[in-house]
Amino acid sequence: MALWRRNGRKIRNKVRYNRREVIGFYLFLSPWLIGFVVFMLGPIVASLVLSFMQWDMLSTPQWVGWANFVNLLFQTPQFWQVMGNTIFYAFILVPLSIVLSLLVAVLLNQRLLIRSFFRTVFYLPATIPVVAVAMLWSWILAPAGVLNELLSFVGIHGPAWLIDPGWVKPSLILVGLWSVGSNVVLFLAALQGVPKYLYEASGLEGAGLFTQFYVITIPMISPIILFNLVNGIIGSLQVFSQTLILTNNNPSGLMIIPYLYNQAFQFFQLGFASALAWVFFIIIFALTLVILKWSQTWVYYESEVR
Amino acid sequence: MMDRNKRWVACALSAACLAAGLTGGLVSGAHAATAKVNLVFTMWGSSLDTKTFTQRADNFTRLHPNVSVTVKNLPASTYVQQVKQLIVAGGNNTPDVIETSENGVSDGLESAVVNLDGYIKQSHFDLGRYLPGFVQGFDLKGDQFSIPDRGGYMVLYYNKTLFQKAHLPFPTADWTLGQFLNAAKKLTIVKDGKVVQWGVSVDDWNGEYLNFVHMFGGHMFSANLENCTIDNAKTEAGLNFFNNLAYKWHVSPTVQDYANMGSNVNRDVPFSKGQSAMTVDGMWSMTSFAQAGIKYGVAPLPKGPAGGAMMTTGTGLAIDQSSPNKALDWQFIEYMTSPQGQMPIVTNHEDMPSSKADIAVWAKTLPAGVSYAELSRASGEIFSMRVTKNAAEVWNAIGTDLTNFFDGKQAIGPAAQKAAADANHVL
Repeated sequence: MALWRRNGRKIRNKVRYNRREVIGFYLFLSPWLIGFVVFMLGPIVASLVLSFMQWDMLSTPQWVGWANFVNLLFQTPQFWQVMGNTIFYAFILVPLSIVLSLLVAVLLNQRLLIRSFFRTVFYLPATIPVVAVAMLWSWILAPAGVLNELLSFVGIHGPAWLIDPGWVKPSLILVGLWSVGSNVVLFLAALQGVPKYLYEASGLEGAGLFTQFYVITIPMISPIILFNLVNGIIGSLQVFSQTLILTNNNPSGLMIIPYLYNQAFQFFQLGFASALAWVFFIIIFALTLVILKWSQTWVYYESEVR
Repeated sequence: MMDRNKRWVACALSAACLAAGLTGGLVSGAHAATAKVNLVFTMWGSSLDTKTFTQRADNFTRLHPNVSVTVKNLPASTYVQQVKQLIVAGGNNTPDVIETSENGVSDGLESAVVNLDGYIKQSHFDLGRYLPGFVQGFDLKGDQFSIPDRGGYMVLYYNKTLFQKAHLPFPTADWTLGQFLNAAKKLTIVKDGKVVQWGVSVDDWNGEYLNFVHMFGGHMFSANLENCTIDNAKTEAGLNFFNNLAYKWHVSPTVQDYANMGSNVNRDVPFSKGQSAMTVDGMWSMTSFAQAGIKYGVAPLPKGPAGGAMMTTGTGLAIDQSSPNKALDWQFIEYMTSPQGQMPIVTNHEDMPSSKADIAVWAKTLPAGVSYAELSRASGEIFSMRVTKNAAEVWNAIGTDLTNFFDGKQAIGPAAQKAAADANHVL
């Protein structure tokens, strides 16, 4: 009986302590939770409701059902053109930036003189504000700008990079490649985490540099490749500032987010813009799921048991 | 005993409530008698514009001591958006009177402003005090939503020094498009394969090319404003002439040339630097060209096959639907758009007033060497852009589809057809 009483108190104390822990947990979580609910979840739900309405901010919202989605998908050719621009931009930029940043990371991982200097230099562009980068590139890519001047030295007459319809998107991709520094940092950290003994052992077996890179390095850093791939796709599909500044609504360079911005805040078609936002979210979500599913065939996790 | 005490307490409480109510009523009544009504007025523009509007508002409040006016300068690029947000937010910042552009009402403020026809009729407001063409710019399908305030229209600026160097007579109100083009060709100077002086500088702003469309007898929209007619022959002819200035006759910078001059450079820059002999612009540039040291004159735009055309570029004043002081708002607008109310526009060299009575005074304040004489001869050629519903979206569609045409990459025919189709989709 005494033991039970002692144990009863222990159990009660334990229950009280657990409850305190839980309360403490929610208290610490509450600032973020409140912020999330008020500033993210609330607007997300509101935009979902708005997507079924017609609203210009001033008059009473009117329920229109699926009309915004039908209009967007079947009656707005510009949407498909803009979607095409965005997918072209993202699907060319992301693989190129992964390859380029991996290459740079491999080089920076070598024992080079003033390696720290190069690491800083390659990362610096990622620290410059996007607007400043866009202004700089508008000068470089001007018809008589720096790039065309350099090309003229080798006898090439460069195009009007940000004006000619065929060159607008490649120019935007070039601007995007300039900021691979943050990917380089991640790859560098991943490369430095690959155990050296794997290279030593494979070297003893007669593996060359390329084989070691393909058989050891790539699988060992594949989680980081996946991370950069997913983040890159999501980020490049949502590109906004630099395309708005550099192309100024040129139809060949108009992307989804600037188009959405125009619909919502220039034309005050908030219902239509909300529908566009949700369609785009579904597309990105589906794409991410496909990539994650595909990644199961090539991403290697050390702790994974197959 | 207890019941009696309770009765005394109840009576005392009742008396206190009655006294409080009476006192409160008297105080609030007295307060209401002396309370100032504050009107909120939204505008956009420079510090000169703010100063001028504030001065005009102060003149109004001197005549109405129980009224105060708060002038709010909102960024031009997001003006309509911010006005809407102020209206939605409510409270003390809700605008009472709103400055609007000619497209501004249809750009999203259509459901925000009051139809002024009733006020105009009731107070026998004379719209004839404004130049013909100004009033129509603030008329949305027959309903008057704004009263013209700041006037002004598109004119031809010419560099007197460059004209004199080339021994060419100055433009007049009788100039034709042919004379304009000949002068532009003679004033374009090429050295070592590079243009060092342009005959005229124009770009792809609709405020410029719409004048040329009118000169050729074209229209962008049907009479009932429900169809875009950019793809008709006369409209295309006007657009072609305008664009040929850059791409066929090479007397104006192309889009690539402007891109080489820097970021966001337009037609004003080469003219203010003395690198182009003519430009097409609104009257707001008079002061800045004078400050740039350019000896210039102004003339009407040249006459095309269908006559002359100068598009209005003014602003108007409208009443917010949610304002609780509409009668007072109308009094404010009546004063601001009166000859007396518009005089600070003249004395501050801000712009051209819309009131005919003030224009003669304004003409005397023009920079040295600039005369209004030729413009006054052509005042019958002033017209307003016709305002459709969802104007911002319509013009965005047209502008987007004409991009390749103005870049010299596409002929007008296919560009105009696509623009008409997309604009009609919005309409």
